[in-house]
Amino acid sequence: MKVGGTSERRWQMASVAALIAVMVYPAPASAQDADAAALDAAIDASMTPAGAIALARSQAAAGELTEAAATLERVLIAQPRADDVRLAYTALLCRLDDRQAAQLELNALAGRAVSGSGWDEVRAACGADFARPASRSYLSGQAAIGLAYDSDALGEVLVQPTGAALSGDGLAALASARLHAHLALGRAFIYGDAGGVAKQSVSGPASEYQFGSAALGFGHALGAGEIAAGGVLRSGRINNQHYVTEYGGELRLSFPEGASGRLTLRGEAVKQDFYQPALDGWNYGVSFLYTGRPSERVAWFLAGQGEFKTAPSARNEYYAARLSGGVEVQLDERGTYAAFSTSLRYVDFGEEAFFPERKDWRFYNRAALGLPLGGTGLTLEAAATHSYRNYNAASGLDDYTSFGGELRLVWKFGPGRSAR
Amino acid sequence: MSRWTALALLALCATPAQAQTVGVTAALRNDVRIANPAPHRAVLKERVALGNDVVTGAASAAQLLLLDRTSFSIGANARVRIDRFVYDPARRASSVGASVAAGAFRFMSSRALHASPGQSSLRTPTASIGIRGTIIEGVVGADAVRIARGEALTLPPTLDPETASLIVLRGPGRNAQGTSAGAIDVSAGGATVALEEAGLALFIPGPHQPPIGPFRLSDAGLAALHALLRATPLPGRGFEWEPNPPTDRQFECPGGGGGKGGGKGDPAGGPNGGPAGGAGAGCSAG
Repeated sequence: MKVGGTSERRWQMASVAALIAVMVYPAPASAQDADAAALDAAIDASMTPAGAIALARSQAAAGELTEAAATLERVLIAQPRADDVRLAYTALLCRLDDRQAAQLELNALAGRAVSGSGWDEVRAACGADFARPASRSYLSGQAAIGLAYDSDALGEVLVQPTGAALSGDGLAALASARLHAHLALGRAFIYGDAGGVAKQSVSGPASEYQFGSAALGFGHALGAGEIAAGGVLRSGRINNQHYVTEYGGELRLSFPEGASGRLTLRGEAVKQDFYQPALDGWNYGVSFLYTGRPSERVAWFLAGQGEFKTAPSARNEYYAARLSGGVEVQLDERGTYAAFSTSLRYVDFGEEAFFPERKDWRFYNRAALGLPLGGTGLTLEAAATHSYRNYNAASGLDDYTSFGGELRLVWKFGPGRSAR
Repeated sequence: MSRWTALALLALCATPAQAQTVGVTAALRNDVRIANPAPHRAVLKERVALGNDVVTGAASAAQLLLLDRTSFSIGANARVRIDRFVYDPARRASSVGASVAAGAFRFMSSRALHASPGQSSLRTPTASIGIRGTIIEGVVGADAVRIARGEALTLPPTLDPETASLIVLRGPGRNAQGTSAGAIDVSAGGATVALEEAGLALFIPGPHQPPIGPFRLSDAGLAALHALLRATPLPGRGFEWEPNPPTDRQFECPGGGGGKGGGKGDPAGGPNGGPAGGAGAGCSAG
């Protein structure tokens, strides 16, 4: 390279000096780093709903209302189901005098579990006359069809006497559907539930059944909760013959509990008409259902039920108790999920002279993996199942165990689906 | 080394100084990308530099937190960029220049930005918004047209669904606690309109066209705008298990036979809940 004259040399020296200055001058980067690190800390502190609420409260107390709003907004972007955060955000919007947006946020909480302290905060910021979440009408549910294999299909609904030692694996077509309808009438509402499950033998033993249920009733908001009452109708068929029909009434009380849960208490009384008059009678049940959603991707439930059935003879009366639980975890952004549920039921029949005493334990487990079929609203669900029944020796009945698998196409619709 | 070689080297080395960090990604939902200059999927707390394009995909959203604590949230299918950023932490004073090429946004200025009123601005393809310390929401593109159509406005035939902009002053309102009321000046098509009351909106139908309004954005319009900015929960019953009648109920038949077509019932009367049933009395297998 040819070196130029004085002017060129001056350029070279100036360029090198500028280069060095640019490379070694650290001050702006350091200042930026410190500011960015402070933002990192604020983001870290708001990673959980509880952390974000605490940080927002301290920011608001320092008069930084827009910073507090930004703190809560970033949780709502990542976790739209963080209901307590939305409630705190609603209160903050009122403090920023944006009541229109506050009402909108409150409406988004209609029908969802929110804490009492959160409501108090909203009332304090927005005023006691601030409108509660408007009730919304909706229709939701799911339908599924598929195949089910059971290692002992014969015994699924057939109780065998001790020593019969009969079993047979089988493949069956499986169909189920559930529908929830909610018609809002201001603070009141009409609800309708319908559901059914059917199993039709494809190969192996003819062990088939259909069971359907429906409920229709009227409810009213009760603070943050609701109370509802209605009629119940159920009917079941086994092996293509009528087995039982039930009709009666139910009373439900549902209210938010904890940070993201909801507790429903329910009682019902139904008249039962079996295919055999010896079994006819009334069935009285009380139950609880707790549903929780601790995070955007996790939902779980715990349910319990106590039951008493009357019948013309003591041996066909019983007390029963059931405990059920389950958890569903969303595994990715596409909505792939894993779910597990279990149910345990104990039945203690009445004693009658000259008839054997009977006590049942019934156990059912189901583990499923659901894979959404992109953009169709359909999910391909594979599940493993396990059924077990245990009878006391005096009953003269054989225990039952079956392992199975299901492959189903599931269509979920309505607001029961995850927020997107 | 030639003069031009030296200048080129100087320019190259000066690049880090130009790539000044102005903020971080504070919240991400689904598909958010940053082009600096090559586009890549953004990660939480990633540094955003002056001139970086931040782009979101469908059903996506992000919040950018600037160094002065100004927050800039964007909804789905958005493209934004910080064009200018001056921040003096010692004086707690800042000014921002940002542009929104597409999508919905919510801009909340920090207290530092309030210290330099009138020096910050947002730019959309059709409007320039002078900020006087405030909370602004808006949307650029077809969604702006869709929301504007629901607002009973008389829209001109010249509206451009690619660049049409809806601008809303959200606050703080006059009764906000401990903070001054927000205000913006929107310039478009040679006209400037001041919005000084929270809830008022302007619609700019296309380039070089004056704003339509101000008008008060309806509840439905605001709901549509917020639906673009972030997901809201829907009422639902959560996870429900599927009932299994043979386990959860007394749903059974007394057996006695076996194999396919067997199951004749228990003529002696099934024990208790296993109902006394005979062949042909119902509940027989097969």
